[in-house]
Amino acid sequence: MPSGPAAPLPTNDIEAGRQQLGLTRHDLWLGYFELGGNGSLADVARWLAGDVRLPATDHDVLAVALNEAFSERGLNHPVLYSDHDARSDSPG
Amino acid sequence: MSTDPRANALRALARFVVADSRIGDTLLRVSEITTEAMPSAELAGISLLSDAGKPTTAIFTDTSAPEIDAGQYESGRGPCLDAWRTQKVVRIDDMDLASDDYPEFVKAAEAHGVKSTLSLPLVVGERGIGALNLYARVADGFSKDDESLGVDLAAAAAIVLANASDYWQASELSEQLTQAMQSRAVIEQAKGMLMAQSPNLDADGAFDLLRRASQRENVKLRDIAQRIVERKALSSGDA
Repeated sequence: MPSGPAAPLPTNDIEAGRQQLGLTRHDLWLGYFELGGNGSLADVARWLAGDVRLPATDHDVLAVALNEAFSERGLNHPVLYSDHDARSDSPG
Repeated sequence: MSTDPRANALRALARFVVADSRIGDTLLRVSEITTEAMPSAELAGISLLSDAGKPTTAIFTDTSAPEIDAGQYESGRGPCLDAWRTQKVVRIDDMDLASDDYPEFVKAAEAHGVKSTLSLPLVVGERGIGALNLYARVADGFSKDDESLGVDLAAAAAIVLANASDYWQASELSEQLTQAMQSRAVIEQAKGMLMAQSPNLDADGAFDLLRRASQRENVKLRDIAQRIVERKALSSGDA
């Protein structure tokens, strides 16, 4: 494995969100697949476990899947997207 | 045609295709096949766990069956529950002899004119998943041959039940995937339309546009995609 990047991998946000929502890995993968994600369930499991670096594109698709599930519970998009530090986030 | 009730019952069970029916219909058919094979079995019911995790007579060929069984579920003692727990056949040939062990059940059974019962465990792997219960309106209603046939039918019923559960789980999964693929197709189509409008936009950029619009308007991404696709269809129709 190469040395870790300076910025933390966003994988943990996704795994934390999944656990907070009580979704199974399969539930999350299904939402990701529905939104156009191309990774397999096994890929998603590896990303969540932190075994493999999660590409930014896939991170954002997973983040949308989680944020839509959060929205259904009245919580407004708590999982940040990969470009959040490059652009200003609209609060609330 | 064989007149052997065992062969006929097992053949009827084998002919029954689980994929054509809901699980309740499957189990009801199993119960009916059993009563058809055993003339003395006037009523049949299948005890299973309810969604709430309590034993219940989920399937019955006659409404008397759940009424008879209610007493044993309330008190926690009865032949169906014992067959389920011990995974062994429990038979009552004479209600008078069973009143010490199962007073509530015997009272309910006698009120419905039931004089003997045969309770057969449903076992999948090493796990008891319920019981198939047969009730006769005569004492000593079930012969040793009936019991032997009942054991075979209960074994077949347990396999049908296990396969039916697997089948419906797979079916539910397949429905979820079908739905997901429909949404995915709409999103892909909307991305394609956005990319066609802006030659420098790639697929990831198109997804970002959809994602931002979804967040801004607090509308699901697939609904944003649907709007884009419909607007295009509308403008094509106007043209």
